[in-house]
Amino acid sequence: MKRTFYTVVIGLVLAAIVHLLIVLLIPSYATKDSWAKLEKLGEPWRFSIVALPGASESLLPLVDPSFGIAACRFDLTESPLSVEAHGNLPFWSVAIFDRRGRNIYSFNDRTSIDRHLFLIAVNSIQMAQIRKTPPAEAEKAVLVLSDTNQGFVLIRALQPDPTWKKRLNRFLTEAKCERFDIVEEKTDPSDN
Amino acid sequence: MRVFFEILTVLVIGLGLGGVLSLYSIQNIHGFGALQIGQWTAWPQAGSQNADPYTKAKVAAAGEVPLGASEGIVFHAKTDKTGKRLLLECNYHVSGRTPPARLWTISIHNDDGTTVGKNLSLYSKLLSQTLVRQQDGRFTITVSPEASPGNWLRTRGNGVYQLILRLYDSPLTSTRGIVDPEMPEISLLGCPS
Repeated sequence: MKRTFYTVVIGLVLAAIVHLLIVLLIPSYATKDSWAKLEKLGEPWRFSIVALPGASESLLPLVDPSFGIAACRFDLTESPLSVEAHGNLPFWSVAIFDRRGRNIYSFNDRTSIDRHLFLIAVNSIQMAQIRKTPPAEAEKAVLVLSDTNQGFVLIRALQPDPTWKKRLNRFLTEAKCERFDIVEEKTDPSDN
Repeated sequence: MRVFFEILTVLVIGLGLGGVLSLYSIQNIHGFGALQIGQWTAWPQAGSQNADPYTKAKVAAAGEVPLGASEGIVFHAKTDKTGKRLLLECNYHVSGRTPPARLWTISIHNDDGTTVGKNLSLYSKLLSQTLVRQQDGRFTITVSPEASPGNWLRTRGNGVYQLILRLYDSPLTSTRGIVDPEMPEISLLGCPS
């Protein structure tokens, strides 16, 4: 009897360990996480439309049916990132996520400079380079220091009613997600 | 032989219970890191790096992209104020106020987060800016299958659903929060018999 009791107790302890392991490991091994979904959507360094307002189906769950969403994957080991979009919309917000879908930075049209969507994301090495020789563009941009190299940018823009459809589409499809060149002082030897 | 059965028992309890418990905890609303106001629940930390492990697992497993702190906050409600699940065929009033925000939206979703009702784009969601309000800023939204005067959020079909209210650019997340935030109350008006 006592042995059966111990067997059950050990079973329960194992259950607790298994449970903890699963919960802690899911973020690393989830195959349907947001990054995996965006990978199917399109190439990195360009915005793809994730959802348009009123669409019945969307790639990501829990999206707001009043919003249009575009996403762009980047890799800072290749180059710093520059994101730009133009258009006068009543509300938009931008957020940078790391590879695991965790939010690193976010801002909206009111917290941006002149209500323009222009940001430059860099890692710490690139930040040092930018500090040394600040490019002229960097003055107008929101400079984001990213603690992760791989990640994605998400733009969410409000469509108050269908009359805004064209403007919203233009805003999202013309949004730029580009490699941003920091001017190096040294010349590239491979040129000659 | 006895030892073999004991090991088997340990494994069945351990793997079985551990697995079921994990599945349950990430698929359902859980209290870790949750902000509860009336019938509404939000996970203000959902998108951040210091979220609790359960919230992180839930976000990763669902593949959702949470709102960042200066974007907004998402509230879910699955029950009315008496604790009964919300049903598509029933009529409800959502009335009161929301915490301050530049704008907010309310929409109807399935439990897994997909939107309910195709081609209902005009009625299956409402925007704070187009809402009819009383003089003190309070509002009442009727959530029902049948058309209703005033603010109407249309449902169609049968079964359970969740209401999602998203506050955008709200001091609830962008600053240190606000004291005693207020959320609208969900009351059942009746179900067709």
